[in-house]
Amino acid sequence: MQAEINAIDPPMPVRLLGVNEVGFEEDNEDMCFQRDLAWLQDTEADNVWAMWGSERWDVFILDDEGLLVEIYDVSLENNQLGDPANYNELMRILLELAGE
Amino acid sequence: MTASRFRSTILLLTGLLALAGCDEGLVPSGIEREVVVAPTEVTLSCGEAFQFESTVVGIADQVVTWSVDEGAGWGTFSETGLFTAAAGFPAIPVSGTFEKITRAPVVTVRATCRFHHLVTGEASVTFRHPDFALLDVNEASDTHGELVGPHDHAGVITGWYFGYAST
Repeated sequence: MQAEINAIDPPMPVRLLGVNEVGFEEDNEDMCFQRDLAWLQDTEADNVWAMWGSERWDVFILDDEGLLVEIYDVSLENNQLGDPANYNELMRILLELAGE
Repeated sequence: MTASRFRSTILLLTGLLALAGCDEGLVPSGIEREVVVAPTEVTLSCGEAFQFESTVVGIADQVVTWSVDEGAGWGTFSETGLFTAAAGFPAIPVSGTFEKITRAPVVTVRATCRFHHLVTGEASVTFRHPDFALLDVNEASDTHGELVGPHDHAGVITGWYFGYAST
């Protein structure tokens, strides 16, 4: 998705990042395999998952001022990105915010 | 008007003015009383401080007390209107759990005239999502080995995926 967005080159840049939960550090190799997105490791001291009130599969979408616009749930039960309709919807949200 | 009636009128007026708060600085000019807060909208990061200003209209006494309608968990005020946003969002209990914040929170800050609690003014504060700095562990990423967080992305639309691979 990041590569597709970059190719579209919207008026405002879009960046996708991941945040791995504390205690699942062994997953980092799998999550980073053949991916070049920033993959951030949460820590007990930072506890970003709790601070943001996030749940697994949440995508927090922030605007260019750092304001939360929407949380898009890409869990298997809801909007999993294997379904092209969900993938396109997330793309649409990001590109619309970026002024495309 | 007789002297006794004049005295009665003066006593009545004095009583009415006291009730209206004139003894605490009411300006009997017919001007509508209000508190004007400036600015009326501001966007803050968690932990950030911001100085609000107030002007009391229609009352000579300019002292106000400051508060947050949604509760002090969102931030605290000094007596002079300096607002310091909380370091993080407060937990909002709802039906035995906590409300999940799904949009940028907006709270109302209020200045209330010291002697006239119905005379108030307000402004809104919109909160940026709490900042952090976490290590990028993906060797293929442009920012590998760096601490990365929302503060690095002013002017950028960002999507923060929370996940892990284990089932």
